[in-house]
Amino acid sequence: MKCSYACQSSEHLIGRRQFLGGVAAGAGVIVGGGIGTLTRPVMAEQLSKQQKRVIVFNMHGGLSQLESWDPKPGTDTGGPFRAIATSQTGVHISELLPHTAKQMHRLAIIRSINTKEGDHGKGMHMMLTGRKETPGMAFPQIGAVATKCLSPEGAGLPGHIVITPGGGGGRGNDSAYLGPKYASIALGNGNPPANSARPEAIAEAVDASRNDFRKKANERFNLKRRTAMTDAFVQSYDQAQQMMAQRDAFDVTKESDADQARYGKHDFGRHCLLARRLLERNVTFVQVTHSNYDTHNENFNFHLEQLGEWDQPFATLVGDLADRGMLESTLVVVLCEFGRTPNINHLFGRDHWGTAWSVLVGGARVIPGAVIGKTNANGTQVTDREVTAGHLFHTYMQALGVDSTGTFDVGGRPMPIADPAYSGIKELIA
Amino acid sequence: MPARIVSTLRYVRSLIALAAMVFTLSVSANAEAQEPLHRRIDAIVNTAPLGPVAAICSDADFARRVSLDLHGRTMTGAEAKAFLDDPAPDKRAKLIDKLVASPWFARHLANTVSVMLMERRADAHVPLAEWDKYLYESFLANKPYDQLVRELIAADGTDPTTRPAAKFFLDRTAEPNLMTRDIGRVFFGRDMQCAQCHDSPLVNDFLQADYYGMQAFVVRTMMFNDEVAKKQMLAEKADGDVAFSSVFTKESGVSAPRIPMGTFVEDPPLPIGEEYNVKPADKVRPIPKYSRRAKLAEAITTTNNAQFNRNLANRVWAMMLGRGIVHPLDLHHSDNPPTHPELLDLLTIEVVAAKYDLKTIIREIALTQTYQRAGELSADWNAASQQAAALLAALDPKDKEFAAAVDQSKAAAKQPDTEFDAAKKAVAPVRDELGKITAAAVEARKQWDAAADVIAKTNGQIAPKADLAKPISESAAKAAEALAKLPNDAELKKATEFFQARATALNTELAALTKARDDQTAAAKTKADAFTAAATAINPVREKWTAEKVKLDAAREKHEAAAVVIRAHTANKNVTSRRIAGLKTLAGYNVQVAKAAASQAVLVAKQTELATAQQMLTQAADEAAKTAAQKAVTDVTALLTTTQQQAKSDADALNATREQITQFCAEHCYVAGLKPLTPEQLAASTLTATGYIGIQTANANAELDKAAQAAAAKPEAAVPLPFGGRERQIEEHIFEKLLRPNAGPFIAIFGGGAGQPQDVFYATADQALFYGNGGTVHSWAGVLASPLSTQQDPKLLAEEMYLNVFNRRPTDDEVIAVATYLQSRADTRVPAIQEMVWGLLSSTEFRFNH
Repeated sequence: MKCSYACQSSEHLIGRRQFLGGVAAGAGVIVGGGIGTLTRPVMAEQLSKQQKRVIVFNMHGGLSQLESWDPKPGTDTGGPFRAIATSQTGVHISELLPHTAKQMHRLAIIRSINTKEGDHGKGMHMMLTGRKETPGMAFPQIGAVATKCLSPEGAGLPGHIVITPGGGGGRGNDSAYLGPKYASIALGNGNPPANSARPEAIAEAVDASRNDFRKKANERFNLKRRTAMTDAFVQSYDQAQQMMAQRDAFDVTKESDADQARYGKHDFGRHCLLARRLLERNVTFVQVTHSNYDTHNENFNFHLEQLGEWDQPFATLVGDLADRGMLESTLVVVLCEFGRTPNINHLFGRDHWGTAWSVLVGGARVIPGAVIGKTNANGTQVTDREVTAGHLFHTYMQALGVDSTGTFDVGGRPMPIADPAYSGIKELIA
Repeated sequence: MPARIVSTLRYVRSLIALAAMVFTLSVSANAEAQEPLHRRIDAIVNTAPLGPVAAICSDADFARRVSLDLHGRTMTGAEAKAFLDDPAPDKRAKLIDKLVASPWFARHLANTVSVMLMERRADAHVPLAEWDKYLYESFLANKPYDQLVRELIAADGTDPTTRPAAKFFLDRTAEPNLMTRDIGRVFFGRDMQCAQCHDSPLVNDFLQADYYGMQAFVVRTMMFNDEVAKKQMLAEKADGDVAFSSVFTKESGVSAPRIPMGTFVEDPPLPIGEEYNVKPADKVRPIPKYSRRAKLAEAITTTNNAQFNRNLANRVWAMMLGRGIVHPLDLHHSDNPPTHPELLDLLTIEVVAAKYDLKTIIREIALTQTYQRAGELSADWNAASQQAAALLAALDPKDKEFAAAVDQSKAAAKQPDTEFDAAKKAVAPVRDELGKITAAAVEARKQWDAAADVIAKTNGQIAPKADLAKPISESAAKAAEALAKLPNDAELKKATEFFQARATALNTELAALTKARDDQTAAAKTKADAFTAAATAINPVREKWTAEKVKLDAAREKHEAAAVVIRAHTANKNVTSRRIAGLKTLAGYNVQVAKAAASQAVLVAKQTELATAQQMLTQAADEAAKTAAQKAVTDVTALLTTTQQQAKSDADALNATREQITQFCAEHCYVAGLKPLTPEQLAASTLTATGYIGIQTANANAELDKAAQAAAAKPEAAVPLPFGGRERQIEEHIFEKLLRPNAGPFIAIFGGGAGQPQDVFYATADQALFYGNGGTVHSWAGVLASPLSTQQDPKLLAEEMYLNVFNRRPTDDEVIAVATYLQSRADTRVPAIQEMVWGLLSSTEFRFNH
């Protein structure tokens, strides 16, 4: 598969050569995040047409596969809920997800995950980076990787957003060797990114004139000392100004009352609507968290309640993406750190379980309606097409048109985009 | 002599010099030992340069550059003005001496080394402030770098005075892979991360066995929670080896401690069961008699440390030049050779000769022309391009020779490789046997110890009973004696019987216990004998192993000697290939200039033609002439598009070539590169530019004067000046009151991720938003705006502003721009100045060290 985007692609090489006038020397410092300077609008437009996006729903604590994507009603492990038919003939999911059931012809289920990991932190690391936690090594999360591969240089809005209650607009620590440029910005409680508003004390005209003075100083210096680094620096200010101009993108109250009602007037509903708003504005990666599924006791009541909140906003978002023609360019993933035990404990709970569980995907190049893999009758074992986090990570990237066997150049060191020990689920990708 | 011949001769001479350079694997420092180091550095870089070389930079560029590189901040406006106006011809050397003598130099070095060693990891067990203080005081006292490294590795955190040094391991939670990787990167310039699971697929020289050789030094080190001191400390076990197997080849091995390509550091044979000064036990910090970590501290800086020295030389060079002679800094291997091998050799020798005193080396580097190059190359590269063609002609055959040498050395390595593999196979069963028999002896020792424990336990039971048996027996005897005198006393009789019964019972118990002890002693003797037998049985196997190991070591030595030759030839070949690639680009430059000029000329001709045709069209007298002219216009227009495209593509290609050449020249230090300011430099320079440093200096002086007056009045209570004197007191005041508290936000926004390399440049929108909307920088700009606003003459105001912010005087254009800005905002003068200062602080020129 050929990578069509920014990872060492020809576009970047061309961009690199678009310096006009004097060229000056850069020291041995590496410019993080590629040095493409997309000065030609045509090229930017092309990229925008092909622009791919990702939305990840992170079901913190570990969603039960038996109460969602792989129900086993009427067995010793099945629990009290029924399975219901969905819009995809032959595919059944838990009755706790009636709205999502109507979107299943657009989505796909992977039912054969065996990560062999029952620890929250390690499981989440695996699922978000596609690699086992290894001492002495840090790997970038899927959001950072997707942003690095897919975000056009000079995009006005940040490419990597995590929407989570309590997100204060600051930068996350999830991009490892890809560097802060691809780290997430955490949004929540209606907060926009830090420092994105002009202080009241500085009038708009004043801001413009001081920036004009700054630009002129840059022009004089860059005339003789222009390098990829100075270009990246100049561009960061342009990007900041674009972000300020598009600051409304973070204000979900600007959406219509009707939409706010459709998504639900609670945090998660607002977060999903914000996610739609950002994806519509070509933000590359949005992760929305929903908490908490760690149901060691009262698993059934908690899932009834939690999924009751989750189902409608999620299904509404999938429907909206499809209606807007965005689903074919937007990968949707519903993941968590692990599933839950088929065994029901004495507190009516289910415990940590990495042996046989499911993830929901859809959009982009994922084949709609597909079901990958199987578990046995009462869900205690994978019986077909066993996969783990490494396979999933390759699959996500391939669904986005990224050659997941490629490498990043990190300061002269080649770093594989995804764990080379695994490959993608080919039959899931169109 | 005709000019052409002269220049040809010069090329030939430079070729000879170049060839000599390329062939040299190590340079002799003796030949020119009398010359100061900076001249010898320049001689290497300036002799037979491969491309155009920039002039020496301006005083203003030098002042800002050297201040940032030696003090971590720009100059104040007053300092810059004084330097620029100083007519002394040796003012640069004087400035360098002044800067390195200052406590600010120690601080900057401490900051730089702190980031290099810890990579902005979050504090775990040693607070950053204590660590920074330790480094600062180390550099203030000119502690040799090798000593510093020994302290870092040997410290275990138990002694409060050396505890800060233990941060290197403690804050990596003594994780073996993390310690191994970072020792490799920071001290040996080898990022062997990939070799953790297999021989690196990306770097031929990085072997899994080398990785585990390093890890063997630290694998026994672990964290220990001291519940009394409520602190984590380092502890070490006396056993534990690294065993590894490749995920690719499934080949496996074990390794004794070894610095890459060094000698193996075998553990001294200690009697089994006597390995500890303090044995491991619950809540006890074990202390082994032999510490592998202590051995690492020794080995890293005393034996087989060529790579340690080389890495240090390269890193010090990079601190000043912004780029290593080997780059990236942690990828020293033969496919990534130095740009100037002989320069790296020279610096390596000199670092050792200077007894690891970084100040001496840094001062010499600052004095070089190489460090003081301007940031721009002159525009005309014609001569350089011609010379490149001549150099190429001579290098091409060398390249082939080196390639042949690589092939030959690889062929020559085949036999030693095979023999080494065979030796490894041969030694494996003996090693396994030794492992098994040693384990058996350890087990026998354990059983003997357990038997001894049982005896001790029995003895513990016997003692109190024996204690009791004596008085009871005596009482029974005394009672019997009394009963003999009063035979009819029933009570007495009962008592006597009671005592006798107790005495009998006790004696029976004692007899049983004693018998048990005797049995146990016999059993223990068997165990002891078994242990002695097992321990003795080791000896012949160890002898066998030693004999086999001699063979293995000999085979390894040959194998590695062959590998060293391959690496040396490979490095030579790669140096040459890289030079050839650069020279090819440079040699092609003149052709591209001509091509671009030609296509530009065609374009101009076509444009003239079109203009003429268009004129003819407007002036056409009749329909026929009009048609003809129209056709001419159409034809020329059609051609013009192609011509324009050609001109553009030729111009683009020329620009790309210029960029490549400039990059090549920067890599070879022929022109100064741009270095982004570190977060610390950015914060300190912004505070300097806006006048805060001046204000804090005045505050510190006032406080110190007051203290001095008080001391004069009361001499008995006077505190003596610390080492470093008042200058140190002022620096520490400024650091604690101003720099440390204000650097935080800059580090958060401009620093790399925790534990990630910090030498990668990122320009992000949130940095720009922090500058634009964060409030901090704009309000700091106001501090400079107030004093500037008292200056009525716009020219003088501009001068003062530029000296403060950029350490240079403004150009005429810039003076006009300042005057215009002031005029446009005549009503709000101070805010207008504040806005301009903000603009300059947010500019490219301020963001980079140039």
